Amino acid sequence: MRDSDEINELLRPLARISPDEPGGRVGGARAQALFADIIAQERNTTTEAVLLRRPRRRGLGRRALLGLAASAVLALGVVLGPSLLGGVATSYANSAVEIHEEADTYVARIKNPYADERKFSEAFRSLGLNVELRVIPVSPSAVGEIVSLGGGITPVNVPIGARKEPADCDLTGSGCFMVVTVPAAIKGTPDAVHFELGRPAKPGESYENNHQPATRPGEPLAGVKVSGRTVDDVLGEVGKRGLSAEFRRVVVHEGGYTVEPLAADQVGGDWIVFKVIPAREGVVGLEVTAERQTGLEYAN
Amino acid sequence: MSDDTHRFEAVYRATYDQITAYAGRRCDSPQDAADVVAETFVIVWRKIDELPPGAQARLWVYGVARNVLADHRRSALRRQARHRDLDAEMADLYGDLADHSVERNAIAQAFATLPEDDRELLALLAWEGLDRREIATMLGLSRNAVRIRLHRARRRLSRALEAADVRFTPTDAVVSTGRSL
Repeated sequence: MRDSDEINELLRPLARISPDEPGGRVGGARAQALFADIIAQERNTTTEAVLLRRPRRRGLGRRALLGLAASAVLALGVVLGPSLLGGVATSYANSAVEIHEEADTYVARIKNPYADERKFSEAFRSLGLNVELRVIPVSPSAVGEIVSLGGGITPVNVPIGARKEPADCDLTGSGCFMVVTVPAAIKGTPDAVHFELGRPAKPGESYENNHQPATRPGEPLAGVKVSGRTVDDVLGEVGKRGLSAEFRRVVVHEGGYTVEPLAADQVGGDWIVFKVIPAREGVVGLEVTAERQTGLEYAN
Repeated sequence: MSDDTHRFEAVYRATYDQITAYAGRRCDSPQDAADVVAETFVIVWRKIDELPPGAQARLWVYGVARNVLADHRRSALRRQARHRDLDAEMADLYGDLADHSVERNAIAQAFATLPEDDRELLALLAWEGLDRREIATMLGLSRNAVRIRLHRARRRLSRALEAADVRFTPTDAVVSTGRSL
């Protein structure tokens, strides 16, 4: 018999509204219309009488749910400020994050960086902000930083800030919080602003900032030249620092490249390293090719 | 605004996304899903005095939605004789999954052969992300009963999948893709 995880994995793609997608917008006009219609009803009316005045006429019709997607919020959020009827709320808090407005800026204090990642975006959406925030495990040099903006590789021109409270505190200790600031001007923009904020990784957890080199300041191979050297050479540097290595094969395409998993026993010592990335604590990933590639720009 | 309205607003805000998704995943047409969402929250409003505190509120609302959906399906069955063609057309417009892989269709067919209660249990885990304790609370069952029912549901699904010859392939075989130089 298949185990529970396997069955979940098989069934998740069957959901018409994916379990991973953010979705139904409680701040949207349809949700507000339904809310207004419901509370306008007397509580002691019969269901039939109430349903006669369902908000179809306000637009919650057959198209209302097209394109809606899911958001699995694990705990109730608390909205403060103006109500659903009286305009847009100005602050929101759930167990993961607390957001308030402050001088044309929304200030989001990350209460629990390890919370279900959907809770962060849910909080922004509740305030009418089309922001998708992911808090991802990263290598030490990227902790507390905005790791990507604009959905990975597409840059967007939005001044999103990140800082620690209190300043320069240690995020692995208690009483130290990440704070993200988002300009209120993005309110009402049609395209979602995606960004990723780095948090400390849990023991054994893989880093998700594995597009950033492991030779950046603050990383275990800081300042070491690796790009263009042989695998044997680079493994020497890796071993000297008490690290271990994994490998990924670089496949060059027109205009870019992809990396694929690669078993260590398939790699020759004379293969060429393109880049070394942080994989998880104590482990780096060597992105390699069997031969030097003209399509790759090796770092100096 | 009264306390009742505040309580309703809080629970509405906290669960609207999830209930729309829950209904959308289970209704064959968007208008049915819209009806289920609207009716669910009308009942929550009428019964706001019964709303349990804290995290249980969400499970209670799920329970209301499940009952509304069950009622809706009973009346939908009666309507189906009249509107079968239209229903099918709407289902096509709305219900198609983006991915039509052979394997996924086979999984969907195997899943569809299960009894309704089995499907609901497995879906609450896989789609809504509820755990067993939450499912037990929502359905008003003991945790042990949920464990046993889930075990049976998984066994039935496994057999159906075997009959359809579905093999499990992990989806995360590739480490990373698509970086520009």
